[in-house]
Amino acid sequence: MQTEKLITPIAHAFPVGSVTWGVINGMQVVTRFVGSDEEEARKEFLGIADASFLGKFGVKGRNAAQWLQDQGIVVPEQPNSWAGNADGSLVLRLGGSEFLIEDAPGGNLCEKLLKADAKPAGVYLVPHVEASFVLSGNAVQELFAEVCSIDLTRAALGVQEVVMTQFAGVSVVLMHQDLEGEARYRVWCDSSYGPYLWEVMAGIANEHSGGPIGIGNYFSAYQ
Amino acid sequence: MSARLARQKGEWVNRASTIKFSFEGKEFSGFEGDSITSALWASGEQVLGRSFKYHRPRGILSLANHDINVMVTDGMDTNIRGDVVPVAAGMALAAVNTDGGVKKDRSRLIDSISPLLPVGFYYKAFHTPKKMFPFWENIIRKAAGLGVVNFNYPRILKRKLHAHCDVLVIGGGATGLSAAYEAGKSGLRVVLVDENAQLGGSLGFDWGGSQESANLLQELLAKLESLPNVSLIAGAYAAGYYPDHLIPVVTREGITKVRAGSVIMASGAFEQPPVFRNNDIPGVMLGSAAQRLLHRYSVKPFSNGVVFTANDYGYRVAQDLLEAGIKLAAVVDLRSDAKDGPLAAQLARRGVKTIAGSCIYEVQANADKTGVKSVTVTEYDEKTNEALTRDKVTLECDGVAMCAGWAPAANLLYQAGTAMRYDYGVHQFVPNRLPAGIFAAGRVNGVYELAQKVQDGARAAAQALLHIGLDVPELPSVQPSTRAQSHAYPIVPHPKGKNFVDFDEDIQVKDFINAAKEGFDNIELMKRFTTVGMGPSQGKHSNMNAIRILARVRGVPVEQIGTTTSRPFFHPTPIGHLGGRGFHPHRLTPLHDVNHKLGAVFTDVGAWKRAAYYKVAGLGVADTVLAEVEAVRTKAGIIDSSSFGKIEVHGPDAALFLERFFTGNYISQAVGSSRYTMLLDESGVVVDDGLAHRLAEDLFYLSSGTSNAAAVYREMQRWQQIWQLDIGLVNVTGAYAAINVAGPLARQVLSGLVNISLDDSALPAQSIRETEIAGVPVRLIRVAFVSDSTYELHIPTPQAAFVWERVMGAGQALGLKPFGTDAQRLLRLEMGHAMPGIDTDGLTNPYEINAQHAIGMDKPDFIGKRSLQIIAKRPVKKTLVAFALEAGYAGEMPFECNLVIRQGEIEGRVTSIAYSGTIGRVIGFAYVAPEHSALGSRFQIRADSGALVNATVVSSQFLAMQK
Repeated sequence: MQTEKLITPIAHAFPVGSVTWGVINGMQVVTRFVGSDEEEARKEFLGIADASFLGKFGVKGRNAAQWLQDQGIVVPEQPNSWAGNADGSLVLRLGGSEFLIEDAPGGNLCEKLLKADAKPAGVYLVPHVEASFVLSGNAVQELFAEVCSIDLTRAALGVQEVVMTQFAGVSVVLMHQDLEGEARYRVWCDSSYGPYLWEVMAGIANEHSGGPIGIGNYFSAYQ
Repeated sequence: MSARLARQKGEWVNRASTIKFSFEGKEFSGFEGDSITSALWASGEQVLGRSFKYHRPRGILSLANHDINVMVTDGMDTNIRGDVVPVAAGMALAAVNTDGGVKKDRSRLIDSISPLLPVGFYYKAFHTPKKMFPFWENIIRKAAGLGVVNFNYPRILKRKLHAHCDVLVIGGGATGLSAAYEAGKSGLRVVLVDENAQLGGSLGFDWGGSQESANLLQELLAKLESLPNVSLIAGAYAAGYYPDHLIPVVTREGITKVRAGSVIMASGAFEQPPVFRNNDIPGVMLGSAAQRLLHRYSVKPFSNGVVFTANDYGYRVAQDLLEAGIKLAAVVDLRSDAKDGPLAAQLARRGVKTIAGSCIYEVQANADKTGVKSVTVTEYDEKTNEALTRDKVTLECDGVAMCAGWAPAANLLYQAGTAMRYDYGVHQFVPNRLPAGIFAAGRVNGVYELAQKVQDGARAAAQALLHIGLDVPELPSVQPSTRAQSHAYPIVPHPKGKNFVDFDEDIQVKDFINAAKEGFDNIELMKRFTTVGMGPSQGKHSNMNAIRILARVRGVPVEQIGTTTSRPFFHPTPIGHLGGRGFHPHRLTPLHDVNHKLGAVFTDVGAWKRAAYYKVAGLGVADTVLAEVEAVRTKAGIIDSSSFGKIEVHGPDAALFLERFFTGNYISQAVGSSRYTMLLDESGVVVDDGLAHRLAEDLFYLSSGTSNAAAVYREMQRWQQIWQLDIGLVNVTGAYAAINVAGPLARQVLSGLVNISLDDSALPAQSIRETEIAGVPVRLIRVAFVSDSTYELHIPTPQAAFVWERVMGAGQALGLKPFGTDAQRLLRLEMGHAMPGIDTDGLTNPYEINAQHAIGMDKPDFIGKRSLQIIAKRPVKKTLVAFALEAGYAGEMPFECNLVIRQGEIEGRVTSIAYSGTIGRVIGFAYVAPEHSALGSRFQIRADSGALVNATVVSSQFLAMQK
């Protein structure tokens, strides 16, 4: 019988037996796919990691931006852009009045927001349980070129842009972030598409000498 | 004997690497960089293929993929275009479309009876008796055709990529390279594609006896090398034009869909052959083909040739041939004014005579018809376009280079919507009005002089940059050449024909004349009747001559004839490229692995994979499903319903929104209760149904079927844009999993898990409560879709597996069994629930399914109300009824969509049907005429075999019929 209440939505796509499972934020996740040296090498070419365990919080509505500001959250001014809070958490403005907030590694901002005082009129909670990915590497643009029809190069993306597009036929939210000294892309999709999208992206990553790696390769908090 | 010339600057072949291969069972060798054709020609092979219809021997025509004279198979792949496909070590090649080999093709006899086989002969000769047509068709198909499809060809799926650039340049000749350089100087992303293996276009072969072109090519490439923002891609053809400057670029590796800010078409022109008798004999080739052989592959096209020209280009070809040491018997120029010009004088100084105002009347083949023996030259009357045969001269030679003019490679320009005009200076169609962001330059624009092409490329680049918002100075326009580069009518009639216009389809001049006589005198009709331009090279070498002939036949200017429609793709593209490595998105419920462990067999429901049933060893599918149903009816069953649509409607206007969106009443709905929802479209057709659960005054939680969930949410967003109510819509389909526990013991299974009472009084039918299971928040809903006693648990997706295990654990001792969608459909049928999408179609209105109870016509408005008001005044045309077959019926089982028949006429159709073990009868829903819908009415269903099966209208309360 399953004892942990949470399991990563990508679990179905992970190979049985050959990977190391662990629990992060109360969620069962794969913490290592291959040896650390090989994961380092994969990351160089095209690394893909599961970040679905990071806490997420969402609100929408005409007063959502104001309410977030009242909670001390940095709110991106432009629709389809993102901002970082001081604690490293991300705030994505998905259109004019909808927001997705994701905890920094080790953070618990989303839990605090969920427990915050009753939301005023015009602020609606949006539950977020998306599958969440981190991507990086020399060949990441080649992956994008295969799964997405729009231009996702750094030059085209801009600095703080959030893109809502399709990857291999699945709606995703994408942003680019320079973090811990490297360029990374973050991708979120509906959890039910998580295994499919993981398989597609990991398969392409393998073709470029990359592949799945543990999240510790990206966030030192989980090494 | 080798026809290979000494090593020369710019040649494409790598002489350090020898390639061995075979053709028609004979061993050959070539060099790395050779095409199949060039390697064979260098080895002295001239008969490289057989023509499509008459099986005439064929050699080189264009050497540029503008014809398909050389089509070979390697046993695995077929229709390989020898002119452009590199020869590879170990290839075992054979020509396609032969019976007994390319030299001894038994079908060559067809050529001798060709007068009996004009275009369209099979339509005329064999259309009656009709029953014999398949017989003749079989013979004709075997006699005429290309390669044989290999059904064992491996499934090779190529990646399909997307790319983006600011300026896309199509064509890597002087014009394209110049344009890429000028555009690239801006620092923007510039991509240049060219179909040839190396860049340079005609700079690489059209030298005209000097090194000017070759030097310019080196200069341009060197300049471009300094621009890292410019990507030069050879071996890549722009295959078509789609809106917003989307251009698929095809390489051997696959397709890249390039989206460009602006596009420069520097695609050049196709050389067009003059038309004269036996212009297809091996050794007779286009002048540019001879140049390609000479300068790309260092191969002699022939040893002692004749140049037949109708433009100045022929003199450049002649100079190149002479430079390569090839003897020229003469230059025959169709133009009477050519003899006194400087070009003829230059040749005269090299000892080559020019025979002006003359034509090659016919070519004589050598004894075994593998090459040219001689040509017959006569005077040509340019006014009447006739050969004057009173004085014939025969010139001994072993090859002919033909130069008559060009047709713009404007395929993509046409596809982009360019309006073309016929320019009488250059005698060519040129762009007249270009679509925004598309620019044409070089030969396709009617510009031929080398310096002008470079200038025109730069001019187009400046315009392309201006189009995408750069502030650059506009450069002066370059006018089309004022000297005709093409002859207005390079056609030489001959009473014996075999003067080919379209080499793909063996179409001669007389075929066009006859087609016009039969009334096919419109270019599109003529194309279809004669099949000109319909072969694999799609008219690249034939359409322009066809237009000129038709114009002459009809006595109208060329521009009145127009051109045929140009469609993608520019060259035939493998299906594996087009299909590519496809993506097949699918959704898994959070319980997918749990279901899998339980033996689930999955089925596709929309994008979702759902458990259809759970395998039981030793039990067939039907019995397995019946056992799952029995478990629900007698004990308890559990089903993963996570794919159901789930939407939250928040806000003070939430109830009002539902009132407008659905047909029912929701303002009065109590918190904690559930109500049926029916969605219509604006024409009153039933679209979807589901339940609305009120969790708070300002919060409704909607659940609906799997298939329509996304569409319903989109529709809600659309209407909210119109209504602008004070609400918030949240699609939580993916955020919540759903588990149904159904059956008489369902309450018992759950009662120990939740901290609320499940008694009917505390949780009556159609109600919702928020509770917890082992600390996991749960929305617990009492529904009655598959059983009167059903509890639906909605839980956060990541915790679904945890809760499922808890419920399974609690139900183990009570006989709780998982059931799938097959059992679910039967269970709902037994419950008498009609389902939109299954029991309705795209025209069904609520009155036809007896859903009046769900319609609040007293409401101010709802989607479809106005239509329903109109529909309500009309008689109902069909009615959905519940039916049962005779008790104990053991005959052929009817299926869904089988027709209801009454007195030989179609009255309706079956929408749902299944054998219910619970009831012991076959039950279902069907549409019948309203006058036959009363309980007890009888009708007949026509099963697949045609057998009529008796059925009786019964109450939809099927379970009341239980044994």
